[in-house]
Amino acid sequence: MTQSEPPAPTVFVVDDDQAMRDSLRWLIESVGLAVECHDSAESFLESYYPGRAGCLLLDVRMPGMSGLELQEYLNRHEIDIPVIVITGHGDVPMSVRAMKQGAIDFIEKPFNDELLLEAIRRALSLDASRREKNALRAELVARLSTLTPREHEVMEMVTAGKSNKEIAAALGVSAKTVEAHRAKVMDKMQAGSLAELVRMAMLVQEES
Amino acid sequence: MRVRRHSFGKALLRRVPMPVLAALFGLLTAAAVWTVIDPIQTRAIDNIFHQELQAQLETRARESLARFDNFVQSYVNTARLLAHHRRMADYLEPLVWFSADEEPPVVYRDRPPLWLPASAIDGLPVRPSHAVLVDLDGRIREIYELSGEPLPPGIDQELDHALDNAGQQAYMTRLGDELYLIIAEQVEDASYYQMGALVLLVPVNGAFLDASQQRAPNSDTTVALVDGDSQVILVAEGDNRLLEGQTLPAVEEDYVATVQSFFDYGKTPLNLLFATLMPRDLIDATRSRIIAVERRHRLTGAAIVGMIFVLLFILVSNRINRLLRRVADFSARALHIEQPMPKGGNRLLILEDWIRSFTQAVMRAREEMRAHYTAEIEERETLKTAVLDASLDPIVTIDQDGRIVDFNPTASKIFGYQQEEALGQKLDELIFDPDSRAAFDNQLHDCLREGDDECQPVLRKLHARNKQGETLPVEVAIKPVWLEDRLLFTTYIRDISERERQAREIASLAAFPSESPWPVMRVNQDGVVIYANKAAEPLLEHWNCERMQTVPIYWRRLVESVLASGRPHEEELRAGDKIYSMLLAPVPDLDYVNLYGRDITAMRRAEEEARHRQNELIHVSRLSTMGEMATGIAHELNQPLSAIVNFANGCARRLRLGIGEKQELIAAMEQIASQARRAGEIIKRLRGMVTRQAPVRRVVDLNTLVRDACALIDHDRRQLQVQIESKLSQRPVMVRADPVQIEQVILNLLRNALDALRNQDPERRRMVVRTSATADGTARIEVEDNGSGIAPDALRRLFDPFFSTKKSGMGMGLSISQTIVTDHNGRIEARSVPGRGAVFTVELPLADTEMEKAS
Repeated sequence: MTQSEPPAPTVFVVDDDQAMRDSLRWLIESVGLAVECHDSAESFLESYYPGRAGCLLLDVRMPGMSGLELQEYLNRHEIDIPVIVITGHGDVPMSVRAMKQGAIDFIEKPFNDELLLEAIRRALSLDASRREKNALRAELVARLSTLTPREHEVMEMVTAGKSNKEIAAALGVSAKTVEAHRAKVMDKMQAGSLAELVRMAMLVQEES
Repeated sequence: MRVRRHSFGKALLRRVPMPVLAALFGLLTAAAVWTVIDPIQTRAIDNIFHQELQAQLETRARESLARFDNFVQSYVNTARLLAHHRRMADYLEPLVWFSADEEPPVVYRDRPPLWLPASAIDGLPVRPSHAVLVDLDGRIREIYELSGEPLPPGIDQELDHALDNAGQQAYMTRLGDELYLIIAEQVEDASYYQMGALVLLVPVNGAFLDASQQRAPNSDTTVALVDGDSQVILVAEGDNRLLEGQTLPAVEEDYVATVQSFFDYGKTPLNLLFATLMPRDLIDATRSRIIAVERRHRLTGAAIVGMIFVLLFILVSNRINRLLRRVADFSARALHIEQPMPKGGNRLLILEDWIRSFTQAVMRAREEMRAHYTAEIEERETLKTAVLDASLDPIVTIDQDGRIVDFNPTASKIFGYQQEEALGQKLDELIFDPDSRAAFDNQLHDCLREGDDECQPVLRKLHARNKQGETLPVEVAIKPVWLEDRLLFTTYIRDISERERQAREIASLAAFPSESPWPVMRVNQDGVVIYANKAAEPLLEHWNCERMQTVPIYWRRLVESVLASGRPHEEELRAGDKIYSMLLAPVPDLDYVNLYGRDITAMRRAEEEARHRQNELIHVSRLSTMGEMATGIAHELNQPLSAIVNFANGCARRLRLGIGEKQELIAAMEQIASQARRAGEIIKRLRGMVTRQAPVRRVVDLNTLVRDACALIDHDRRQLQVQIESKLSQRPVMVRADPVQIEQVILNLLRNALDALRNQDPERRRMVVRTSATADGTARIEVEDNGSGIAPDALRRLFDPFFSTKKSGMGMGLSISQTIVTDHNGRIEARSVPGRGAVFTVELPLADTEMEKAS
């Protein structure tokens, strides 16, 4: 549909049933969200490119590539879009599988619109925060790359909770030197306090 | 017959005629009887007479004494009367007797005293001599001398004695020369004061005794009182006063005396005896009279005995005479023995002679006869043996111990024993079954008991056993044969096994129809029931007719037509809640029709039941199919429902927020309606398949049914990503069928095809459905898939119930499909090339309208 500015998220609907797609679009658009419908997984993959903000509303039962297969494909290709699974009544095993594969929610047909819209909202916010976090992490990684190896070591030890003396003993340098490195690290990482630095370290470590 | 064997005597006897001899013997017998009996009889009579006399004497003596006692008692009574008389009491009332009084007693001589009423004394046969009043001390106060004489001497002592016995017993005593009866009785004055006693003195003399006996003067006995010590007669009865003073032994020459003691006068100081005397001459006269009478009787008896004897003798001799004459005649005629018959003389002796010669003649004759008879017997024996040998039945002769003495050849043949083996054996052990032995023994006994030779021997059925041990039913008759020295039994044993078998066969044949659990009837040409067995009764009842009555008109016609055609005919008949299949079989020779009924109710019921079950099964199978498809169908239904919900919610939100174009909203609403219709369609199809309904026949288009079935499997089809190629006939293919059932068949075929494609590569999955109507009136549906196909042996069993190649299948689908198609007069078949796929073809007859169009 309308390709608005990047922050505007899109709800992707993948379902083989025309009426289903139309009705979902009708419902979701009523809360002002952009909706993009596909009648099969293949058609979705053709038009989707990673980085598009939004979430995926996926019917598990479909001819051709099923919902689960699509989910696997996305996981395999590290395409990180939140998935809400739509299931028919009694498709519990499939739903379980979908959840294991990282779906954030599953909705049973026929839908409770509140639940569905709530789930969509949650998925979109998750997508947004994930995107934000990814951006921050990329920034931190960039800052980390500016540190010298010695500064890197000092930072690791500082965030591990070691005192300047311990670090000096471990590195075989004077405490004054350690102090200097530490100030350099704080400066380069743009950390206002030790606590902030620790948070940054953790954020970066999460990634690895 | 005492005849002395002296020739002389014999000759003499021969001459004496029989009557004379008889008279002589009669006389002799009478004399003998007399001589023997007379002395014995006389002695006996003497004894009897003596005993009789004694008894009579005793009786008389007792009677005399009793009379005497009564007489005395009358005096005692008189005394008691006087003592208690009113006049006595009145007299004594003013008197007082003092013991010291010296006055002499008052004596009355000519006039009676006041205390004694004269009338009381006058009535007595012998008047008392004195009446005396004595006071309590024993002193005499008043004396009434009735005899006019003073008191006899010695009275004073007696008075004391009398006072002691006052009011008790009279007693006798001797005062002076006289015997007196003394009676004392106590007296009281009017105020019952005891004054003393009244004493009566009565002289016991001849007159007293006389009066005591009270009888005719010519009586032959006499009574007397005897002094027990001296045996002297003190007082005798009136006429025999002269006996007084004599002793008892002295008078016994002339009298027979019976002496008795007094019982009642125990206090009497005297030893008195009471004697009853009977004159001897009187007794002797009586005895001789009796003996004479007896002798006369005996004499008459002897004479009668003699006469009877003579008569008997004469009669007997006459009889013998007549007999003799007959025998003589007979012997002369039959045996030619000459026998002179003298006119007179003693026939008995003649008879003896004659008997001797007759005996000899008979002996001779017997010898001849025996010789003749023996020859005859031998001849007959030979004949009998031949008969026995030729007999068709076994004949066995046994002796009294049951041992075989004869065994004919037929017996050998039937029982397998040679005669030598059998002889001497016990018949019952050799021949008869152990069970039958007792019966045989009984029969033996019975035939002896019956005894009568005229009687037909009784036949009994027993079981025999031959040498090989086989049991034979036999009939046995036993005839006892009494021989001179022993008893034999001829036993006829008839082997009746063949006869019994035939009898059984005939009996069982006859019982055939009656035993039949099914109705069997025979009806004649007029429709009259000649025979009907028990099982036919409900039928007769249904027809409302009985045996020997006519069957209903419809059946009468049938009978006629069957008889006319001569061919059997089968007809179904409902009688009440029963259904019979009646076979009418004609018997043309006899103009009968036999009706054989067969109760086919159960069969018909079973058919109905089976049809019902089949429908039930078809329905259940449909339900099961639907169950298997439930998930898909539910999903199918969920789609439109979910869409509706979404559309509705979307509308609601827009309207609430006041956004959305009118056109947009209307389009959404239309979508809702369309989706609801879609859901309704699905439900309608589902309901059609699930509802239980009675089988119907309707003209329907096969194409419609195929489309509906395809719709039902649409979800599964999409799941498997199969495209169904529909090559349906351009024109409707009309068949007369139950649409639901046929749709069920098509659905089964489609699902099978889908299942067959499951393992196929999705790209290559292909399925074709065709319908067509052929010119010969057949509608055809074909379902083809390009799955793995069906193995040949599976192909053969494809339509068997419970045969399945799938893991989850019940194996009922195709079996039910075949049932349905067959029920529609169609057929279903499967063809397959393994690895290349399979084609299922269903062929149904086209409905008539369609056939017309097709042709």
